[in-house]
Amino acid sequence: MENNIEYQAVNTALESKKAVVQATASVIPFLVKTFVLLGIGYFAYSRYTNRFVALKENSNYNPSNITNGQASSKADTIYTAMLGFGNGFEVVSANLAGLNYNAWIKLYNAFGHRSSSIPFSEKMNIVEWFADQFDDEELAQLRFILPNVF
Amino acid sequence: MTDLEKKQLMWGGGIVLFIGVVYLATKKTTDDGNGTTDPTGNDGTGGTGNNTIPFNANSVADNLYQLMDGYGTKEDEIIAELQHVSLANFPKVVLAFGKKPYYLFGGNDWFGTPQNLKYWLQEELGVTSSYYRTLKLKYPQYL
Repeated sequence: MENNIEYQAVNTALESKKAVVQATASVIPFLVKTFVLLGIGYFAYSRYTNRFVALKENSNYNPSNITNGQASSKADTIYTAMLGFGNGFEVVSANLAGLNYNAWIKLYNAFGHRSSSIPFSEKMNIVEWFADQFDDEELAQLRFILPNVF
Repeated sequence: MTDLEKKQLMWGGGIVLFIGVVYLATKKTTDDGNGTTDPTGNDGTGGTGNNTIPFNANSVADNLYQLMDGYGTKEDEIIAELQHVSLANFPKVVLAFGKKPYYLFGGNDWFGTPQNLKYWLQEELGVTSSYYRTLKLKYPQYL
């Protein structure tokens, strides 16, 4: 008789434990889904807030003194010069010389967002690239060549 | 209103709305701030980059001489002094500088030979220095 009661007690305990485990297991898919959704949401949000926003040309000033093709190839040249070892100051300054305001806007837009040689780092626009690559004296010289825009 | 008219009205309204949205989304806008002078000063009109700053060639030439005279040249200050001097205004600085006696490392009234601004900058900055190359990029006709 006593044995039977003990058996029943153990049985009830085991069953309630099983129920708890089942309840826990049933929550897991919900948690996984929630985190996946949150992750996708965060990824989309960061992609949106870090997107490249093109600048607009100003029609009050003289039209750009370079073409879209020139802007694109200048952007590529500047990017190649800055990427990797060294900052390619001579190439960058030679390519910035003589640009007027609207030409600078064209170059900025042609450069867009470009990734650095460090993997997984954020993509940067041309101004962020300059700040990343050049020291104060070099930046002062670049600002001397192309003043009042960066 | 018949059913046909309702349908036509609905489609017509929808199409007009769609065209309006596409126009607003794709129309080109410009960034028109105040002022008509190109802020870079590189537009070939002789703008200073900031037309509210009055330009005084004598003052610039005098400051340049002070920066280059004597031992040690202040390269960054020379760049800063010429920051607001446009390509169109640079010849005025060259004229205002004129010729000053240069001897070894700076000005010397006794032993120096009169030299122009280009010679002074070449001697003080060094022709191959990045500072001189930078100046030459901005004033290619004068250096």
